[in-house]
Amino acid sequence: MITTGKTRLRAVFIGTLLGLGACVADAMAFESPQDGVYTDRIDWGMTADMSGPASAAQAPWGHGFQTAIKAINEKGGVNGRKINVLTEDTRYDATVERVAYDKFVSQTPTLGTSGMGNSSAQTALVPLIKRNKLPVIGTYTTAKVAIDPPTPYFYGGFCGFKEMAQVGIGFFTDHLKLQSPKVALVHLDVASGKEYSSYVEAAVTARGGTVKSIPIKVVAADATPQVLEILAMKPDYVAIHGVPTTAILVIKAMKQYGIDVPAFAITYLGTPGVYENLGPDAGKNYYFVSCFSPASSDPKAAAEMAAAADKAGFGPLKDDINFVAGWVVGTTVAQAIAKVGAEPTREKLADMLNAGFTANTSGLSSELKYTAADHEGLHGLKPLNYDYSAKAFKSYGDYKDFDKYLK
Amino acid sequence: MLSQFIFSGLALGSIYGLVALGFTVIYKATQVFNFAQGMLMVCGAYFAVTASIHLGLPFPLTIAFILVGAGILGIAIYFLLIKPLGGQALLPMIMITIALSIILRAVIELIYGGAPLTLRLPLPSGVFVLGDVRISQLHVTAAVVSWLCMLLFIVFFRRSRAGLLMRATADGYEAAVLSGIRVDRINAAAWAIGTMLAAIGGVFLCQLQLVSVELENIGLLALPAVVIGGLQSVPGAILGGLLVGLIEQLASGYISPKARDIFIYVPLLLILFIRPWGLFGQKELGRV
Amino acid sequence: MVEALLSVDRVEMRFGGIVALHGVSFEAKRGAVTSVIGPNGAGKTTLFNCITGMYQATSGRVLFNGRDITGLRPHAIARTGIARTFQNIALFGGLSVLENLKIGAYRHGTSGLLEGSIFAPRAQRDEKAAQRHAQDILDFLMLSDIAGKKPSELPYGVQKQVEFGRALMQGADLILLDEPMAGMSRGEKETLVQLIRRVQSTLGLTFLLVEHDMPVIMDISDHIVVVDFGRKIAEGVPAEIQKNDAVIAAYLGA
Repeated sequence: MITTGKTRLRAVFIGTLLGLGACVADAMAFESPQDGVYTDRIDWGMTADMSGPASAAQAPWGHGFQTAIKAINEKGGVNGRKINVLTEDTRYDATVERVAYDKFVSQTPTLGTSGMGNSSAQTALVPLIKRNKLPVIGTYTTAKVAIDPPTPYFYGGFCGFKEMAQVGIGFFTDHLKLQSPKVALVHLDVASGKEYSSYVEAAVTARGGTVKSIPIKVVAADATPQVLEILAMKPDYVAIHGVPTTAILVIKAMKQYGIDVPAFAITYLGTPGVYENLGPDAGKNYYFVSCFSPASSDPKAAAEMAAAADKAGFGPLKDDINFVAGWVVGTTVAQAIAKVGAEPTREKLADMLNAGFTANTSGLSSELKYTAADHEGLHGLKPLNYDYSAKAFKSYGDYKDFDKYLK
Repeated sequence: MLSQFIFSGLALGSIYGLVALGFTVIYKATQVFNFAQGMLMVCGAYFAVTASIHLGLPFPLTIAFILVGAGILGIAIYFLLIKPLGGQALLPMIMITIALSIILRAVIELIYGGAPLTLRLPLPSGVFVLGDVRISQLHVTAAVVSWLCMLLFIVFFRRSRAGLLMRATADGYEAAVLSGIRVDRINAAAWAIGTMLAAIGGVFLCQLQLVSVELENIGLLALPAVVIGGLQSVPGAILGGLLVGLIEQLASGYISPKARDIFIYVPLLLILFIRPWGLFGQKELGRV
Repeated sequence: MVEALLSVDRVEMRFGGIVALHGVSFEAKRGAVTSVIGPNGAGKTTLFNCITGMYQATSGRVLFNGRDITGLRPHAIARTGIARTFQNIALFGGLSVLENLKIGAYRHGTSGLLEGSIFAPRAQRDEKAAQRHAQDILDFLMLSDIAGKKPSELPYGVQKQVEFGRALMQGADLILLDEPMAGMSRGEKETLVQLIRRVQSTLGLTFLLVEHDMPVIMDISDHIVVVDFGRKIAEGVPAEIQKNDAVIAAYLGA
């Protein structure tokens, strides 16, 4: 091609100009519909059991998540885009979970998804999660196979069973000044119950104690057989895994049989509903361990969440750790998207989180940190119980105080 | 240990017996194998929530509200579903009741939300101590009230004029109609009574636990109770319920909670093999 | 001329494409025994069901006591004064003989279902009246000694009498007997024939029978209606029927 110097100069000038213009336009109008990213909004998936047998715990979680995103959108969203949450009610059904996940992958693509509170669904979906490369960030429960070994596309968002067992056993053994603790463990005879049972056993054995594992059914109508075993064992304290109904049955029956030892439950069972049902007499000896702080246990840290909850009509839920957990995951998702920058994609989001990311949870949870080797996120816990006269949750120290029990 | 299991087993069994009795009343009258019985029981618990929490009624009025509500529900089910679709084979009728229970569950979740609720009724909640046996007052109350209801029903069924008509209608539909009995009313009454008995059971179960649609699973233990006791038999339903309660406690206590289902459903299968009309039922008599 | 208590007027019954009754008409006179005869499948039981309201006739009318009862529901027809026994006995198996009879008296009570459940005074009065009435009927039937027995404990012939007694309890003007003699021994038949005669003469009731037993029919009937393939082919007094060619061809000669 033959051109004069003048024309060449002009071509370069125009080219530069065009190039610049294109760059500016790009920044303004980045879109990646296959990742759920549009000029003005980002689609984000959320699955939770908004109805069905697990909804007592998961519906508050879903509301917490939605409230957090709503609050962020009202402050202008993330890098100029609003987050649009696509909610799917999974009704504690792994097949529904799978269908919802597929929707978020390709039918109504989203940048990522949160919730997925069914551990059997997670276990089944692990191969798909690796293949489809849709980041799953902030789950309501974390199946072991989903994070061990870690995949760049899965990040937990709830307290782990292992840590619950370690902090609970460590705290109560020291608190009651026991040399070799005798612990009765009532647990559901399902996979997570057996997993928890093994963690409790390990933690108690490490303290030179003995543990008796007592199974109970999800649909139990009565806990007399379990409590009679507790009565026969005369434990120093009781550990409880289960659903709110079984926890209530066990604690009430313990009261009936005059068993006056403390009991600590897994995080999921530390809701105002359970305490309200137990009443002050039976509830005063009932504790739980949690990586989240109910609003009343730390009003300062919870101020923003509490205001948003009141505004969204979820005021009564702000003391429910499930709501707090949903809120924490919602804010974490927003922070992660913000950190990726103005042109977020699934790939960039996954790479960023996998490289290492710490969320600011304003003290509503223990440190939430993902590293290349650890995708569980939350580790620290603290024991709490409910002060009926003050109508507030009371925590026994700070998260850091109990890190010594974690191994 | 043993006496403790027997006490709690009998207490729970009384509640199952009550729900099972409701099932039998409905079955005898309309030959409907009612899979919605567990959900009717749940409805009782939610009627209690509406009366006590939403309407703020005092306890006696709460009880009246539950009974009237359950009665109306039973009558409505009979006239809206069972009568128009009636006369069909056992299987379509079973499907109808399954659909009914799913619809009731959805309606409850729509109105009250999916989360379990806490309801505190002024029922005794302390403990009696008899030697080394400790008996929950709520268990005793549940058992006593269940037995009163069952007794009341039996007196009604065996001695009253309406009970006679109900027995006649259960025995032979055509003969009853041609004797001038308003069979529809009798059947509607049977559904009302069956629902009321279930609802009372539901009130006690939600006091032992939470108010939740998941109570249905416990209410459905009425089904093995009636099959073991005898589908057509009133004493069979009551004794079947007690038996299921006892088995549940003893199996959970001495073996494992999982064993419970085996010990309830294996006898059920045996009964179906050896004595399909149940322990206390009668062999089906010829019918027109 | 004795008036008709029951008039069946061109009653037609179709089940889908099958015509079970082709416009059958006849009358049952007050105080008389009218019999409907015909081969199996001729439509006799269908006719009964149309009268009692178990079937809704496709067309035609049924008049009872001068009142059009076509289209009324079965329990309402029963309450106008028509009682019925069944080809296969339809006693209430779980109830005693006395209770079975008491059911027959149900329509005479003034108390409602709710009163009947709570032992209200009015219901108790009704109950006492029914009890007395049932005992009277049992005396009349000479069955007082089996009042407390269950039907299944009784011989077939006695069960038939109990069912007959229940129909009497209804205080009906018209009693429909569907093959009352089926399955009975000669002695039992004799007893029942005597009973029908006794009721007819002492209580003045009207009977409509469907029956196969020719000697009994000829003996007991005042009037006979013959149906075949859903049509009335003859009617008249027994002597006429015995001589009717069409009847002999269709039925008696067979």
